[in-house]
Amino acid sequence: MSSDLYSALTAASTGLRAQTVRIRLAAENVANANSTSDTPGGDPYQRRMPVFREMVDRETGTTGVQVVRTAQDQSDFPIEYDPTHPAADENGYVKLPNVQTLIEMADIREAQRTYEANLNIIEGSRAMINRALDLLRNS
Amino acid sequence: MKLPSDLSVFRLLDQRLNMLQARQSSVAENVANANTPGFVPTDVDQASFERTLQRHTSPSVGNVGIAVTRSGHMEGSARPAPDVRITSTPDSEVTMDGNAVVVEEQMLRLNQVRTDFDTALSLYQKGLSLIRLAGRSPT
Repeated sequence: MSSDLYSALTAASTGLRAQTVRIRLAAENVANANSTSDTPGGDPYQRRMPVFREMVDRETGTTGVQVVRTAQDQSDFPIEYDPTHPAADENGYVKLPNVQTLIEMADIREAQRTYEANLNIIEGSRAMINRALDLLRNS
Repeated sequence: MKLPSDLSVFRLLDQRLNMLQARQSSVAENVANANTPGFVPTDVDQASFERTLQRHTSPSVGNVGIAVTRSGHMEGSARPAPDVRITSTPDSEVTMDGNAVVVEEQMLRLNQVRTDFDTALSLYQKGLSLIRLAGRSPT
């Protein structure tokens, strides 16, 4: 009877997983916010972000979500003049990662909100299933 | 003897519970896809459900049964179940990547579904206890 409620649980759990990946990638970005190249003139760490796609579970017909791949941020690297740096090119410029910690923080916050929303769904569905089972208990 | 599912109150509540389950599962799918580019949220078409439910319950409108006149005839279900139709219903805001899910609105819908579900189940329980009352021997 409550197969629909269970499929709600499934959908919410895919949401939880996707948001976890998003937070993990943001953490990786923040961790590498200063990772430059170790060869002169080389490219530094490139910011990565998740690509979400809706995913239909063929068994239940539930539309969940999936991180299909991680894309790299194509924006330009900021450059800094530092001739003593090991990654500096012949003119003395160093390419820095295109990670902005402020943006990452905002992204983590948003991911957290969505994670909580998915948890709310799980809690709500579970309460509904329990409520339906109470019919059995009390009669 | 009439089974509980033959009584109109129980049949009505059964259909309502089914609709609410489908609604809950679509809320879950929407929240899971709260960050999927181009995703448009879905919901159960309430107007369509109520229209067909009305046709289903009112004895005057379009409630013509299929008669069994020969032994080889199969008994047709004169009352088709009210349709639980899933339609796309964009929320109030669409982000730049084409996602039309507003988590707050989905949370509101989640609570609505939960309250409606509880109400329907309470009524169901009440109906059962009325039957039990009628079946008890007078002391």
